[in-house]
Amino acid sequence: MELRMDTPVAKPGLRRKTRWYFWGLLFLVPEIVIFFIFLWVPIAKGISYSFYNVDFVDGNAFVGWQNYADVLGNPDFYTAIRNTLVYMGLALLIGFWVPIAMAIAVSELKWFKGFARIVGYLPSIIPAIVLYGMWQWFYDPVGPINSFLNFVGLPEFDFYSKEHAMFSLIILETWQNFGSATLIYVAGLAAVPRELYEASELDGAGVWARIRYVTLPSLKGLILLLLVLQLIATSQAFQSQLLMFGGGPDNATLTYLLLTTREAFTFFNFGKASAMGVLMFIVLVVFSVATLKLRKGGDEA
Amino acid sequence: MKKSFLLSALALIIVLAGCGGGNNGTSSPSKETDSGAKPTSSAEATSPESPSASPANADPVSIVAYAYPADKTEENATLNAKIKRFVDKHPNVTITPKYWKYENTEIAIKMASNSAQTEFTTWATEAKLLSDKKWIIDLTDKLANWQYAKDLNEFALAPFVIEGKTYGIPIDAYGMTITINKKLFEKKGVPLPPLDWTWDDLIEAAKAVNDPAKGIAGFIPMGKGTEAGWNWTNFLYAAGGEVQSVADGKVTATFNSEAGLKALQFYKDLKDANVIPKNWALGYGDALTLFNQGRGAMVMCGSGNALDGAINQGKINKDDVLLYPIPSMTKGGKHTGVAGGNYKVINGLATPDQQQAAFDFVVDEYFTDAYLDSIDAQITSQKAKNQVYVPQLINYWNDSSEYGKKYEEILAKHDNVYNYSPELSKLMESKPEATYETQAYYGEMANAIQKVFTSKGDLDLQKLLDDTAAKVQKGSFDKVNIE
Amino acid sequence: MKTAQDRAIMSRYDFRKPGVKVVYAFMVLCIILISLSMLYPFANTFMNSLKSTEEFFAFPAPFFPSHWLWGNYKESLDYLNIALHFKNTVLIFAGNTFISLTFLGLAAFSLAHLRVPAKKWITLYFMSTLLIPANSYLIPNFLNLKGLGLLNSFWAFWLPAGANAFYLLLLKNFFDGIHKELFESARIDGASEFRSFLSIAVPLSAPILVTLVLLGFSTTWNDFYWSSLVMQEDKLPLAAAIYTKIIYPGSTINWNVRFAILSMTLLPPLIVFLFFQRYIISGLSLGAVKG
Repeated sequence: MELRMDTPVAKPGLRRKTRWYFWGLLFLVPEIVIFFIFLWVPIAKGISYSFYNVDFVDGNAFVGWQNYADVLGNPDFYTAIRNTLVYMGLALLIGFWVPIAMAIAVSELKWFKGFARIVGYLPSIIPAIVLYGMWQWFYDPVGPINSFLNFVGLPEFDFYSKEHAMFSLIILETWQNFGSATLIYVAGLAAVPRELYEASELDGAGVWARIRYVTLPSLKGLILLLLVLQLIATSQAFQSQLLMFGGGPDNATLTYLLLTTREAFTFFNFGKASAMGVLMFIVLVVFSVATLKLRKGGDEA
Repeated sequence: MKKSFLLSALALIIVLAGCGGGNNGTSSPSKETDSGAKPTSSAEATSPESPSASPANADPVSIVAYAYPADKTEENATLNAKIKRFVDKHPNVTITPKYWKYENTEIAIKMASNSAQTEFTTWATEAKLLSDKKWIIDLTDKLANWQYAKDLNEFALAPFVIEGKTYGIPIDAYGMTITINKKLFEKKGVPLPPLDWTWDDLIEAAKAVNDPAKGIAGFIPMGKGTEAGWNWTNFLYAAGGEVQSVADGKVTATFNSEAGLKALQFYKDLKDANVIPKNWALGYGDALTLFNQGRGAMVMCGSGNALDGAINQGKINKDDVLLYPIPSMTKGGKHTGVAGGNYKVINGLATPDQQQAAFDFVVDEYFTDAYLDSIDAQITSQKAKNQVYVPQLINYWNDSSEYGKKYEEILAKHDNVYNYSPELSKLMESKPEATYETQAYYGEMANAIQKVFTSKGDLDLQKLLDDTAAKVQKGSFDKVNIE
Repeated sequence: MKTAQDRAIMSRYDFRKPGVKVVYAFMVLCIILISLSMLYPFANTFMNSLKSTEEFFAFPAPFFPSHWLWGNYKESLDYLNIALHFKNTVLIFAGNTFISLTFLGLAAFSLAHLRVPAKKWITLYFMSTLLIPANSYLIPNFLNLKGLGLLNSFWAFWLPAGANAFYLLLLKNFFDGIHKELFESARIDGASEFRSFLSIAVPLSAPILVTLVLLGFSTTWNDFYWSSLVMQEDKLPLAAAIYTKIIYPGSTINWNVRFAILSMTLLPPLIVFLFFQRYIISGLSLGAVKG
């Protein structure tokens, strides 16, 4: 109310502006400060590290673009980029639709609905040591999956081969992570007005048609958002790659972030690791801006 | 939030090299002082030196000692007793024990924030890395003034002697061995190979006990992470090969030699004979777990470490596990394996006073009866837990010395001590790991090994080795500066 | 199934079609299989914790222990003060949730519905932090906390918890979905913006808030690397205490005892999730009722 009444009144520029923006800024200030102190300061320092040979005893020495040259001259760098892109693509293909399907399926359940909504989220509380031990056993040549294949007369599947390693990781990651996305979709589904289903059913739309023309369009914004978030998350993946396969066999699962992590924590080349982080940042920013521009262009046309 | 989630993985990065994780008590108590441990004379040293008592006017110094995790109650009690004795002699020194276990994934942050202990324990592989970063100090001068320095086992000391300077004091050391699960041989009615065995004997034995349908492998080589390269290097050494040569201030890769080719061909033979687990992605812990499960008949590890785990954690009867040396390439050849161990080092970020005090504290009870007493107590307590004490094959002292004999006497007193066969010690030869960029070499070699383990059909092994050598040469060895 | 509120996509009539029935049955089967695979690691961990050491390593491993050795639990209590570390985890979680949801909520609300100068740039200021991998500034991050004197203090978790662009993005997305007219009319009624936030935006976003609380819980619960660096000894949260004291490389604690400890630590979140799921669900559907 106050806002509405104050704004039209002509007042000296600055003061009027402050009033006009008062609440908006007030709500933002704490976060602007928190992001600055706890993210931007370390990030800026990280960026500056990329131009230095980092040394905690003798002090850092400026090396210009040397770290960048080293990174770009490393053949593994390109392998890692390729692997990361493959991983992102596979994850999209195999994993992205799972939480959507699960959220829709679960919302149709008549019994244990609550339990089923939560169940996908359980793996996220399992300690890594149990989790990876379990998958090693699942993927074992004499483990449950291959025993089953054997039982139904199918050939053994080598989860550890160079060709299949990335695929094996996607299955594991999807299993482990789809629960959180499912929860977000369930939250989104809860907001779809029931009357829409009622109406479309009366119009003679079948179940598929209802999902296709009512449910999915209502989730569109959320799907896009989670798509972006998944792309960002998978572009930075390295945990299962490291713990299951150590980046192997023969670098087949060496992702960009695994290489970064290795530079920093196996070889203590913090400058190089920072340079890799900066390169990734630049690429992702360009990519995001391009996507935004494209989408805007599309909307106008 | 995302951040912490990603980070959480780091801590799990497989710990290579730590094969020498001893259950031997590290440094230990003594009521006696090393009389005559003359203090260093360097300009920095203003700290307490005379063993009897420090001058009352010495400046107060406080240092942080390397404590053990809570489950090692014996060791912590021993450490506290040692601290008390030391502080009684050196009232100006305050010592706080703090628990942080050395991890190569955490040391950087510890150093960046200067929160590592003043003295800490590390592994043989870390010498070059830590000294290059100046995270640990050169102990040459300090050792020169320590009376027992000459009694240290030279072999154990070797990995921490870099370009003539000594950076660490050995606690214990190991040579690589192959541990065999005898029960699997008996189950199949297969005779055990001779102790003086060859590569062919190993493959034959592996073929005989192998049972892929049941998930049992003849031999478990580590294939994931740097430990893959570490395991393979044993065969490189046994074939008479070297990782690198150093001349004119330059490091050159030499593992793509004829010996290297033979060693890699041996790995290819293992794969072709189908005697290794199909799951090649086995780190140190994974390989030992498979061995404990009876899913593999042979595994490669530092001295008695695999055996220790198999007996005390895997509860395999101590008579059912056997230790073999690394097989020789041909009959009558050498059984050379990689050596490694645990070392005490001094934090490079501490003040000179603290460094001196930490050094005095570390060496205070080397070569004393108290250390032996603590071993005695440890064996007794393991007996109560129904465990077997597995000594390290190599210690910081020379086995032939007086001190070594006293140690042998203590071991002989107990019946829950694992006895190495004397023939094994005779056959075994151990050779330290490469000095420069060893991790990079292990890591690159791991890729080549994985290629061998996962490729079908023929491979040009020489080309594979040459490519690997070229990559390590360009990426790492060429960047080494030798002063 | 009585009111329109309770129905979802399918209605009772759909179930008369055989095709729908078959697909539905298949779907239920899939959900059951998925649920079983999710529960397996819990059951397995628990069973392993009751085995003898020999049985723990037996191959092929029996699922059930032949003797249920509850003594493993008794022994495990010697190694860790679970209650103390559990309390630390809860403290961290509570503070994190409060700070992140309060301040991120306000900021997201502001970006979605209030007048903000240079809104695009401010949004970019927040969101671009998603694009730089945390590992590449891990060390500066740690040094930063040290410089601020926050090490070994709960504030080292609470304050940075607010710097979460991922949550901000999700919250903003949900607030965007609330009709502007609701706030307009509230303003006309004389409500302050803060009131609008509390009484309109927050209740309508209950589903996403509940989701974020859950996400935050599992993140706090699982994080052991960062917290083991930031906190020390008695202030360590449970996961960090377990990783540094129980299952660190070189630990000689028997595996069955280690699993007993792990089982105990799995219990609280499992209880929270399974027994309180009805409240979680009611949170999730709260938004639907009003929206």
